[in-house]
Amino acid sequence: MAVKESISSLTSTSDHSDEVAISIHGLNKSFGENHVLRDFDLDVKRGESVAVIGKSGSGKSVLIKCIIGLMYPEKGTINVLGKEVTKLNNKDLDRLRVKVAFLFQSNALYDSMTVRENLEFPLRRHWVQTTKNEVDGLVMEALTNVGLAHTVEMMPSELSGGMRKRVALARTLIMKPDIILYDEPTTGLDPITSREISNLMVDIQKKYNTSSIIISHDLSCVKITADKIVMLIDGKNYAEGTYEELSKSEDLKVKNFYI
Amino acid sequence: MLPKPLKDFFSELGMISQFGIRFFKEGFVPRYEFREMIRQCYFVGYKSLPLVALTAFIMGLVITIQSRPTLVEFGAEDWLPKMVSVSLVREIAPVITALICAGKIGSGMGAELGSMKVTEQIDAMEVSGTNPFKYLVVTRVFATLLMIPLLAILADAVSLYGGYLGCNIRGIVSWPLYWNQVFETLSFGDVIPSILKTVFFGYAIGVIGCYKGYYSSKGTEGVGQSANSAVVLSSLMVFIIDLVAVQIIDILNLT
Repeated sequence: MAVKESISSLTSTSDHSDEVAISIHGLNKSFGENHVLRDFDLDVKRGESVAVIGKSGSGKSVLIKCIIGLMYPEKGTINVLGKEVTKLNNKDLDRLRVKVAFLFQSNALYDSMTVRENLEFPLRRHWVQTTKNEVDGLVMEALTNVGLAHTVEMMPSELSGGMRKRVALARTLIMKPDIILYDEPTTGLDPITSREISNLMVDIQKKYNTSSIIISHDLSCVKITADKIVMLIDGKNYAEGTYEELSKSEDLKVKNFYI
Repeated sequence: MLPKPLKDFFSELGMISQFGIRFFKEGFVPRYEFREMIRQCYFVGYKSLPLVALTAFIMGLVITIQSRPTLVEFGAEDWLPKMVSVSLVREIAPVITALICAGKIGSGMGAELGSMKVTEQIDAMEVSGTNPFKYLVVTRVFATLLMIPLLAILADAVSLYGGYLGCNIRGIVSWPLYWNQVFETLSFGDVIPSILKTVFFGYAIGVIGCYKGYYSSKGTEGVGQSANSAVVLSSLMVFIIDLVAVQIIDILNLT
């Protein structure tokens, strides 16, 4: 309980009455002559899961890296939990990142650390005041959530691809975030593991009422996890709707994704 | 108009200089990463110790054996400990230590940070409320700055011992006589500048190794390239720093 309080003290800056968790307007980002995002708009409500789909190189990963402040847009606003990300200084950005977790495409587990140390890292770095027992409790809770409590002392190199993804997911959960950004969560996994990860994402959303943005090519994952789908085509929010709505679309560009 | 390769070289040199200056800007303001720095000192210093010691010992032995015939020819065999000690302490031990560290540590840093970059571990660190430059770069550069001079001091001692054995292969020089001649010859003007220049060697190796890894690109192929170019550039930089240091020592008449 004390742990939850100390984490929530870090998260107390946000306005919880606001319905919208993430609000993006007129986002523009380019790399030289390559304009990947052009006046992109997106709203994600609290507790909602939005999948962003699009071709490789269409700027999906760039979009979520802008949301977490790893990249900066040339134009546009990104409002996350009531904070304008593009205007935050490093300290405030770190405070916001306590509430926004990021699951990297490559899992990004630290090779030189055990699973336990990987999970403890965000807790130690975000200055969460906890005792060793409380940290242990949080680590075991996060690992139990993903069904990998027995791997706590293992190194990432000893885990399979699916297990690594689960541990990475546990690391995103350790700070009890309000928002989770998933970058290609099922890429490189076999269909069975992919479905397990997708179901896990749904369970997490239900359990912690998190909002999420899921970047994916995998329509079966999107179908399981997303309340709403956004199609990123030519840098814009080209189409938006539920899986069923978009599957019935007569637009050729939309239909191409469903073939 | 400069040719493109030359332009690229100077452009990269400028970027590395900026990276090196950033070390001073970020290295002396909190938050300090002492725990990680000690871990890096362990890897840079302790883990390189056997390799540096063995190489220094062999260099001391070989230089002594190779120098002997020339001195014998001039009837100056007695000068062997004096001559060998000056060349080992002033030049060979520090430069060999730096070159070994450029190979072992520079490539290690290039490859480690490069693979962290391509597997998004550096981004993950940033998301976890950590300044990756401080955590990864400042700690490593401090470690090379501190440990390479210490390794060079060790290399001085071990290479002189190798010199003693080298003197005794063909002739007989007693232990006290050998060290007496060595310390009679060596002055602070020989030892201090040679140790001081290893601080700059350490700085160059750390900065170049980290820079190459930190800005690694092109996936796993880029990791190999980072490690390779870290070794090449830091070895070259060791010689350039050595050349400049020798000129400064000579101009200031420190020896």
